[in-house]
Amino acid sequence: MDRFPHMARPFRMSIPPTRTTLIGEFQSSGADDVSDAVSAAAEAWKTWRLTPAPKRAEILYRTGEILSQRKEQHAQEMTREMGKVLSETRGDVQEAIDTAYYMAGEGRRLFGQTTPSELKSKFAMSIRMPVGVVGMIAPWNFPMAIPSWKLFPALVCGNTCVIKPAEDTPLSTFNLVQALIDAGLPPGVVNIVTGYGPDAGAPIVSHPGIRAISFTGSSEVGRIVGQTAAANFKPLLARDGRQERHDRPRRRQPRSCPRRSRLGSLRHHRPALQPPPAASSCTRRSRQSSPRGWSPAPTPSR
Amino acid sequence: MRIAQEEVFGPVVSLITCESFDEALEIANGIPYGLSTALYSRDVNKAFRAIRDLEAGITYINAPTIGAEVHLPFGGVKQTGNGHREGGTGALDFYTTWKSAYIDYSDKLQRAQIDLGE
Repeated sequence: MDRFPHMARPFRMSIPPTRTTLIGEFQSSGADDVSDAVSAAAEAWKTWRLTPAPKRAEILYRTGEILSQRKEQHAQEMTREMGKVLSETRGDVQEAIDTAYYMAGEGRRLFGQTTPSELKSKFAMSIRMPVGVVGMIAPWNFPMAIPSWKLFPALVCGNTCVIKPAEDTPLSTFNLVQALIDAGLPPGVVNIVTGYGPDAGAPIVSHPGIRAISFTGSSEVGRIVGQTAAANFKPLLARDGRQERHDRPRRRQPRSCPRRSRLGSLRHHRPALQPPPAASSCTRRSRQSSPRGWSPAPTPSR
Repeated sequence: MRIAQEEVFGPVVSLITCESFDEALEIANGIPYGLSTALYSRDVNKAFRAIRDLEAGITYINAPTIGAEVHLPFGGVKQTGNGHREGGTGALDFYTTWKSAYIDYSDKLQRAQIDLGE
């Protein structure tokens, strides 16, 4: 990660909803910062892609260990940063730890295929190759888990990264990348660009030096990202908006079913924010189908 | 050289001289496309370097740039495509969508991704 050479346009992050306690001051990045980040990532890719995958994976193993040691600290900072309750933010950090160990294991797999050939004395195989510099745009609701889903597989496969966290949650991405650096990630392999979508996100999607885009966010922004990526022949991983549906069959309900369904709907809320984007997990239940005449059990007081 | 940069759908080949293997790689990679490449060499080190460093979806060693077989992924990088592949498992990847299924048969509330230290 390169620290930004020109900290000229900071934006301030404060605790919702009072906005009186400062979380931190981050660069409000623009196209020039993205360009610097891509240059650093492109330079780092020359050696990172040649680093053996098991060696790249060792850094991810160490990252998982470091995150485990710092889990409580990162969870508390995440709660301050974006308002999820501690049990949720601990789970969020744990997801990054799990992803680190899982993707570290891929460092000794990343299997290709060998196949027979139609011709005599000919050998045929397919090999997984890194894509190059990958651009990533992450949302605020899982501010460490989702960046880990993007960064760790990209890294073990030999890519270098330019990542823009949501403007609401830059700190958790900094914490994640700091763990990578402390685990031995070489300079330039991951580059954070903080700031707002139109200023810092759009240049990532359109930059010719970025070979693929991984985006999580709204369908509205996802459509724009997709159009821009398509115009530049960039592979796009887009996880956009959704509505989850629960269908409740008529017979034999498990006793805890209503409570479990509510768990999917109302957990992960952010009570501190106004207006409240309550229940802002991407897989939260928002619709439920029930047989006519069915009535829910009384709501437990917890 | 425009003829070496654009797709020519005719019986034309641009023969470009180079001073070294590295320069040959540079010339080969110096285009906005990346579908199929080939190297003719008995040097196994150069062969594997070509496979590693040529920016293309396919690299042939001691064979022409045509001759893809149906059971390996077919497609390219850069402006040749958007990363998807025809042929082989690449085709199956494109024409299927993943469904992840989780079945909780514990008959109780189990909280995923909520860390209560249990």
